[in-house]
Amino acid sequence: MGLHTVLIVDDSSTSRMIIRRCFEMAGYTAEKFLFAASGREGLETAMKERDIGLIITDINMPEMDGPTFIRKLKEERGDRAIPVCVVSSIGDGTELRGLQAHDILGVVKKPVTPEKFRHLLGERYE
Amino acid sequence: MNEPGGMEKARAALFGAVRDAFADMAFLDVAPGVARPLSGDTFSGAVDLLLPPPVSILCIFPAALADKIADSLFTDRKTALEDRIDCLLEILNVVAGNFLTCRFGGGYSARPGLPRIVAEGGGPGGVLLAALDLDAEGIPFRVELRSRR
Repeated sequence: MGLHTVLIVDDSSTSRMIIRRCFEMAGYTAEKFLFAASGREGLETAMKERDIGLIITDINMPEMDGPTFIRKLKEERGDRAIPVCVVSSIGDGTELRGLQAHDILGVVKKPVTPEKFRHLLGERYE
Repeated sequence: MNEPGGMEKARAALFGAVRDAFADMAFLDVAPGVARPLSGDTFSGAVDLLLPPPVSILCIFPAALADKIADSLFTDRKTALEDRIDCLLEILNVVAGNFLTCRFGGGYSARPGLPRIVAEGGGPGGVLLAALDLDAEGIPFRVELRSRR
């Protein structure tokens, strides 16, 4: 099952490009990719666009970081929650473990690879 | 990093962090090099780590290495200066994460700061704790660990 729209939130254009490439190389498909360079932009996009089926977000960003973005997204959307996958240069730590309370799908440690997406997402979005 | 042998462990972790980031992201092999002046234009990037003591990682790249990294990442188009800078900052971000993982394993609460370009001669300052002169497939570059205290 392919996705309609995937939102990628990362302040690095290099990282956004790598995430999209690895997501597709892992065998997943989406009709449309949207991009945001901060949690604030990501939140605005997520509230505006109706058909987002998956959000992939970085943690460490200016303006609004990943944990704040995820928390506000859940507050704003309530039970219309969008599945969130976190990418981060740190693979563990108390902050990331705290995100599990927000029902994230999991954490992919940077550098992102197709194999890491496959490991986390399995057959969910094929 | 203040425990016995802490600086040697930090040095080893820094080398591993850089080697893995370059291999995984840009498919470039990094090996120990010799100290020599970097020729031509250079880019310098820094990232702060909130550790006891607070430290910064500083990477100094020749423009030729920045070009090589950007070309290996952006295979579908010609890269601009801003792409090369963004590539360097993202590699630095991954180096910082790798360093924390190599040095402290899981369970640490520190998050790297946002990586930034620093002006020539305007680095993060502080005390030089360790310097690595490295070679990425024939191109020399330098990585430093500095205490901000």
